[in-house]
Amino acid sequence: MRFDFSTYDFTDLTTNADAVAVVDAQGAMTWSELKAATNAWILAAGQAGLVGGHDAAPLAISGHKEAAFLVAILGCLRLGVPFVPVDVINPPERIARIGQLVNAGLRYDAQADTFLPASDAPAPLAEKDLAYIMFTSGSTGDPKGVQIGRESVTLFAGWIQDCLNLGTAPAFMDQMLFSFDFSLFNWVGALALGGACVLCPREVIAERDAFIKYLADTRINVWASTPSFVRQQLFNPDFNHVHLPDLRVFVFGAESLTPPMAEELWQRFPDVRIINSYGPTEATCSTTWVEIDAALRAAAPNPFPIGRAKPYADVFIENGEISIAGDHVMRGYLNRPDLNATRMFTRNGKRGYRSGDLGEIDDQGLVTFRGRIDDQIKLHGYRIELAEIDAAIATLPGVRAGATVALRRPDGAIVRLIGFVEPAVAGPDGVQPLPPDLHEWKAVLGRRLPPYMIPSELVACHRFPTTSTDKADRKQLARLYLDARLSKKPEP
Amino acid sequence: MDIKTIETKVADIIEGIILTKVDPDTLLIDSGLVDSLAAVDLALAVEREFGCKIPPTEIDVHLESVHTLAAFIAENGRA
Repeated sequence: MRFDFSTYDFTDLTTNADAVAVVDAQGAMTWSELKAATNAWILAAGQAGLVGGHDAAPLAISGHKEAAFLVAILGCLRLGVPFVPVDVINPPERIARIGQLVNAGLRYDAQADTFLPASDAPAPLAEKDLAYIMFTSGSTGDPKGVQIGRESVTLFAGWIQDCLNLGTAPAFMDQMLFSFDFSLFNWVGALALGGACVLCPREVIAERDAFIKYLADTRINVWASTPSFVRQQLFNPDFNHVHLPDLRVFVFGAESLTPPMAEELWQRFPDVRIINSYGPTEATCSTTWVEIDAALRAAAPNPFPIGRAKPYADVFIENGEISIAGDHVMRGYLNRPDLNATRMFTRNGKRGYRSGDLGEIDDQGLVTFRGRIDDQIKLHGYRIELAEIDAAIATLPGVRAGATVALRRPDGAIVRLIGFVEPAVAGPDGVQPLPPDLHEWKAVLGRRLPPYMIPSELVACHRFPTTSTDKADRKQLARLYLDARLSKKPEP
Repeated sequence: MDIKTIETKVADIIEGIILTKVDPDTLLIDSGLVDSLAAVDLALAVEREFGCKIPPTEIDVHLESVHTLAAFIAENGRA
């Protein structure tokens, strides 16, 4: 059996119906069980008041990597209800805020298997026939909702089926949060190919030996993750082809892939294929891809290119910026006409999106990522607008303004986030300790921001250095911090 | 190499990785200064500089501070 992402229903019903479809920490579910569970979920959702069809209000889904989360997603896709996935890594306040922003009728709590009210005013969306809305960090301080149409997900599944050669019914390691669009690669890939989606919750990943055993027992074939995540596995000497003999392909995205990282993997998995990919959430997970073949491996450009445009995607560089057009581009940000006016365009009758990523394209059509135009960063694969953290810091008591710096090593790698407060009262120049009434800052920010957005350190600076446009100057703040914290003065 | 020299070298390596100077007793992991990725970098740097592998199950113990890491290296590294 498999899930057809053009009809959004189960198909090939009698083929391998007893094969494993989904695994989570509680156990395995076969394809026939997955189909039955999806039908049962649809019934329960209807009883809870969920209405499908053209005028459906969206459904928020909260949880982590449990099978019930995936069952709810499939139920929504079958009913035509746009789903809004939110991992419980987000504080309750942020989960509630997202429910309000989309005017969701209900939120399905996948961990408790219950439906809860999600907003004061449930309403259908202006955009029709959406598959999902995913929230990414927003520079105004509010996360922004990316609206993806059902047609875009159909194209995405088609690319995995037609272009990647992943074999028959492969098993996918799926550790990425459902609220992170790269996770689509795993569950869409596994379900479209009639394979298995092996959900890896953080408590399984935390125990290194148990994690390897979990992956070996489920005979993982495909590993898609950020390079950061695979890098953390290098600690484990058992992370190799002897312990994971079925692993055939690594697929990377969301961060730059470097030759040393790839070579490290080939040392441990000599016959594995490595594919690099790229694509903002706004363009349904993947827009370009490339297999690191022998020629590319030998040339070893650092970083590796992010690849060529997929069959249905049009990728070009305009004023240094990677721009994307095609039916896989989002319908727009939810309720943000200002952003849609500046970020979106039309090209040859297709929706287009300006990514904010800098890039180069060679005469072979290979694109290389060269950083960001703005203050968006990727930390451990998470996409973060520094301005959203600034806004949260500015809500702390006695604080006039907040600024966040992504501290980088000379090679550009981000080490950690440093938050700066500008106290409302005057004080000495330079980096200063925090005022005593801010000692609880981590807990206060944690009510508003997910853990990966909380700076690892917060310091005071009584007068923020400013840029020519009167914004806090993050580069100068970083220099002030390094002047204060390094034993040797950094090179200017 | 005596323990003080190792501590100084270790502190320099750590400063290069996390971009802040640390004292011998600064808590590295508990304070959040060294996250899981910085820990990978640090373990690889220790292996390169001192020729000793930190057992993966003992990372949290030996990377507690400059002091504990230097003690581990003094015992297991090439002198």
